[in-house]
Amino acid sequence: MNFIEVSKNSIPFLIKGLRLTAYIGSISLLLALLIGLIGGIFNKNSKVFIIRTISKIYVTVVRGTPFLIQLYIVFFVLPSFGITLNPLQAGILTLAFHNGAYIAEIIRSGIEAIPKEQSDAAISLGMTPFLKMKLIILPQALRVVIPPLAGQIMILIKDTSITSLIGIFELTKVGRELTVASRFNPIVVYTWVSFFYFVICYPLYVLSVKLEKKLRLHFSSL
Amino acid sequence: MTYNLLIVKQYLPIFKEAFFNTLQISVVSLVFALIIGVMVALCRISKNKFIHGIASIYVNAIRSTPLLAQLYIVYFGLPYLGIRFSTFSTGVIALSLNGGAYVAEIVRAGIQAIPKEQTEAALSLGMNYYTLMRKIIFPQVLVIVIPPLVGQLADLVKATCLLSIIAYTELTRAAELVAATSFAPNEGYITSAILYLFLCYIIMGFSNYLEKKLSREK
Repeated sequence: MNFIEVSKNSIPFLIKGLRLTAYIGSISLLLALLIGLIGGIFNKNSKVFIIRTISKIYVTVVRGTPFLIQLYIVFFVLPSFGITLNPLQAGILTLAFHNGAYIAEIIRSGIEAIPKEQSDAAISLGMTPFLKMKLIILPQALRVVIPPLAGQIMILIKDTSITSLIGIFELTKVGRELTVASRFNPIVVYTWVSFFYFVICYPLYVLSVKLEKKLRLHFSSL
Repeated sequence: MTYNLLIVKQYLPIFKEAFFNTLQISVVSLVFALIIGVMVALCRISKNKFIHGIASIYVNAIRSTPLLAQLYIVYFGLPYLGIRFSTFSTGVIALSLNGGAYVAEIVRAGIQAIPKEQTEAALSLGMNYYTLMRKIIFPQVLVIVIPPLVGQLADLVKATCLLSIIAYTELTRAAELVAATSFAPNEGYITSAILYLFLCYIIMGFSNYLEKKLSREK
C-alpha cells in the first residue's frame, strides 16, 4: 500500500523532471554531435600543427577529468573569465563539450577506418578536400560509427543526471527533492528514477547491438 | 582569471589527503568490481537460463542507469532499511556494483574472443570445465582483457568524483571545501582538475606499459 501511494504521488513530479532531462539531453546531443563532427574531421592526426595541438589538448583534458569537475569549472570558474552562465546553460554547454570530445574520437576512428584508396581515388578525380569528406569519406565513416555513437548517446543521457548537482531540476534532482524535502520512501522513488532512465537507455543499447551486427556484415563485404 | 598559488599551498594538505583517498577508494572498488565482474561474466556465458537471466538483468540494469541514481539508492535507500555503513563503505559498494557490470562486459567479450576450437580441443583431451577455464581460457583472456580493465580503473577514478555528494573527502569534495572556505573556486576546482589529469595520465601510461609488455610476451 505504501509503495502504491508513494508511487502515485511521486510519478507526476518525476515525469516533469523527465521532460527537462529529455530537453537538456536532446539539445546537448545536437551540440555534441556538431562539436564531435568538427573535432573528428579536424582531429589529432591532422597535418596542421595548430589543429593537432588544440585537438590533443581538448581531448586529453576532457577525457582525463571527471564530468562533474568540468561542470563545476564551467559554472564556478568561468565567471572570473567574464562568462557567467545560468545552471541550465552551464549544464547544456558542459554536456556538449564533454561528450563532443568522445564523439570526436569516435568519428575520427571511423574516418581513419576508411581505406586510403577511397581518399586517393577521390583526389585523383579532382575533388576538393571538402567534397571528398562530404561525398566519400563521411557517409561511409558515419555508417560505421553508429554503434559506438549509440553508446555515447547513452552516456550523455546518464550524464544529465550529474547536471542535477548544479541545480537543474531534471529527473534525478526531482527524485532527490522528493526523498529529502517531501521525505518519501527513497527506495521507491529512486527505483522509479532508475526505471525511467532504463526505459530510455536500454532500448538504445538493444538498437546499437542490432545495428552493430547488421553493419558488421555489410562492412566485411566491402 | 586569478589563480593564487598561495591559497593552493595553504590547502595542500587537504588536496594531498583527498588525492590518496581517491586513489584508495578507486583501487578498493576496482578489486571488488573485478571479483563481481568475473563472476557475473561467467554467469553470462552459462547455459543455465536462470543464472544467465539474472546476470543479464544485473548488467543491463546497471549499465542503463546513471551512477548517481545508483549512489542515491545505496546511500539513501540502505539506511531506510536500517543498514548503515560508513561513507567509505557506501562509496565502495556503489562503485563496485557499478564497475562490476562494466568489468563483466569486458571479461565476457574477452572470453568470447577465444576461438571455440580451443574449448573443443581441451574438452576432447578430457579436461573438465574447471581445468579448461584455469589452464586454457583465463591465461589468454587475461592478456586480452588487461588494457580495457586499466581503462576501467581510469573511469573508476573519474567516477569517485560523485562521492563528494556523500561527503567523502576525495578530490572533488576537497575542491568544494577550498572553494567554500576561501571563496576561491578557481584554486579549488582547477587544482582538482590538474590532480585528476595527473592521476589519469599515470594510469594511461601504466596501460601503455602493460600493453607493450604483454605484446612482447606473445
